[in-house]
Amino acid sequence: MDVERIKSACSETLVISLLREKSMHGYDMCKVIEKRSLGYFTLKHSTLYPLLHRLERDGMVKSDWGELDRGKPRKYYQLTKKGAAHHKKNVESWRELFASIGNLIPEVAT
Amino acid sequence: MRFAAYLRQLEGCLDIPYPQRSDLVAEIATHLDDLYSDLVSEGLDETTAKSTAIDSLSADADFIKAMCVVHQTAVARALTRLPRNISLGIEYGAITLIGFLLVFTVILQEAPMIEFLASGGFFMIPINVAGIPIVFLGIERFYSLFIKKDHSQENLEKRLLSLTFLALVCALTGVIGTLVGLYQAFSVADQIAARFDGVFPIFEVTKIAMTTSIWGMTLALIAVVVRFIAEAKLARIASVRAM
Repeated sequence: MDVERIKSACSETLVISLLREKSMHGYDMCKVIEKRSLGYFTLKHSTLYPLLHRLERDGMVKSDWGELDRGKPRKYYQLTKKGAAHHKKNVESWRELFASIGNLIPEVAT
Repeated sequence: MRFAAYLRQLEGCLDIPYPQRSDLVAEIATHLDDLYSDLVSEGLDETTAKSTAIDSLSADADFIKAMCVVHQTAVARALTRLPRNISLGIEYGAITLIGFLLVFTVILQEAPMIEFLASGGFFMIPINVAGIPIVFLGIERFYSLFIKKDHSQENLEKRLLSLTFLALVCALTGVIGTLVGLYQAFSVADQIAARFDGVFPIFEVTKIAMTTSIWGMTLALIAVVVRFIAEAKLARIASVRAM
């Protein structure tokens, strides 16, 4: 089973779910995802930035060069209303997917 | 700046429009600096931390391609879906069509405009011959830089030599035409003035100034043509040598 492809498919949902909490810059997103998933998800930077820029192009997030952090300006991303609505649909889809898998393969649900 | 050389190279590879390109490079610069600081605080030496930070960024061909795809304009995105010959045909066809529409609608439909052009005499011929490519080149440059937003170094430098050459030809030919017209006008004025006593012989006193200007401008025009041919040849040879 190609788990890496499945993980890659989760990237957008993971990033948007972080931005629901607060606005963040790219480096912090990578660190938080890795920490919270206990190392299971490691978002490569070469995956993260095209993703963030695509989300911004599609109006899901917006960015701004914000306050100084460690003495340097950082580019912060925040979720838009469109992004929040899109995330809600995504979460529903993932819920249905896991429920269906759990029904088909009960061992997964335990 | 620690990563200046690497970031300069990355900026050159990213085929996305400005200012998004410089914005992305600045964003990656802060990311690299943060990663470097964390690696050093974990105990890595500076050189290893620097190379580890760059390697972990994985700014390889896939990354560059992904960024280009995200930042392409809608027009460029639509055209890249087509085979290259067809997309080029559409681009040049659209530019040619707009150019012809401009020339025929604005210039030839307006009768006073035609009279104006005809009244200029012989020198209007080379000016118009140079002027028509200027219209098409102007449309092509506008499309390429502002609609398709191709900000690669090669495209930014394209056609500059041709535009400069055509501009100089139009300017010099226009000035030569002005001076020749004045030469003829003052010559006729003097012939009329000769019939009256005490009238100032304007042609006699301005003849030297106009003759030297006409001849100087003509030689300058020849020099511009020769220089353009030589520079075009140099550019062709330089591109062959670079291959």
